[in-house]
Amino acid sequence: MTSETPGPPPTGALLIRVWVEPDDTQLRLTLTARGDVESGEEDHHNAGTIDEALDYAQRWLRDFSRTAGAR
Amino acid sequence: MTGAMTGARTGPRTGPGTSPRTGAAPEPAVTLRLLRDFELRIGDDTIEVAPASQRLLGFLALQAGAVRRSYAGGMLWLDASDSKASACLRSAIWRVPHRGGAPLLETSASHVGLGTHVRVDLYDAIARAHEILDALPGVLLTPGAMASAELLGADLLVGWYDDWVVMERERFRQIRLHALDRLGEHLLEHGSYPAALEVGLTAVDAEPLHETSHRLIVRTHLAEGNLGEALRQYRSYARYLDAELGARPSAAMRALLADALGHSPV
Repeated sequence: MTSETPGPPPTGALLIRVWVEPDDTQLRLTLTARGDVESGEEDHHNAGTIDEALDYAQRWLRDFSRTAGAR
Repeated sequence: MTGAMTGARTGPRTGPGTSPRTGAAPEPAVTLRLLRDFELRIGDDTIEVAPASQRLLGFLALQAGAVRRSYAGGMLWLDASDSKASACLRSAIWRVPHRGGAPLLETSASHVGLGTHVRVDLYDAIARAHEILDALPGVLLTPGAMASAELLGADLLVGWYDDWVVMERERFRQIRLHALDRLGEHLLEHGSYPAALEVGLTAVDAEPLHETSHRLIVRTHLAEGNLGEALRQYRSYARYLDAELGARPSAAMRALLADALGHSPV
């Protein structure tokens, strides 16, 4: 008899990279998201403000929550 | 994590090995590629590696030396119990290819590490980056360093999302972009314009929002007397920046073109 081992939990990743260029003051943010770290495509988004980056992060987390819950 | 970026394993590792036994045929070189994709080569052959063993080899390559088995198992199989992680580790070790010569892994009852004869492209890239970054002003770089755009052009293990990869990838990314900037400056200063352009384009490809790289390309075109190309590059960057961030090029970037044009670029 074999016991069923549950697979790894649904895991996504959202990486926010932020920097300021020399001779400039504006933040530059790049967001790289993947809804499933095991497979699937990366989504890339650039943002020039904190609010814009947070909007994207919030939307992505909501999508992840909805799709991961359905898996 | 005390990984490869600390420099602990960035020194030269042995290349194609010669057997310590006098007169024996040289052992084939073992090369682990971690830049862009994972690839294991023994001699001229690309060797197929099971996914769990790929992760093990990648993980060990990013450590400063051999690590405790319990640590490796815990990091690689985060959600497994200690005994399950230990079993997974044993299986992954067992499935690492072995084609004669020295084994890829050095194992003991308590530790596991990558064989010191395994050549890792990441270590070469880091060594090259440090050679560029540590060069004294005015001193000509070695031909190897000057030709390292390709080596510094790729990210570490693209598409791998393990925690132990992500931070190393970012650390390496920072080093390589900085080294590319410095290398481009060096080539421009020494009049190697085609090579400077190649470096600039490699850096822009790695990070299209990094203005320093665009500026290097513009300055190189200007140094060559190609005002039209400089302007084209500037406009392309300005359009991209506007579309992605709603921002303008920096004053320093605009001043570069303004000096050449006699008026502000549009």
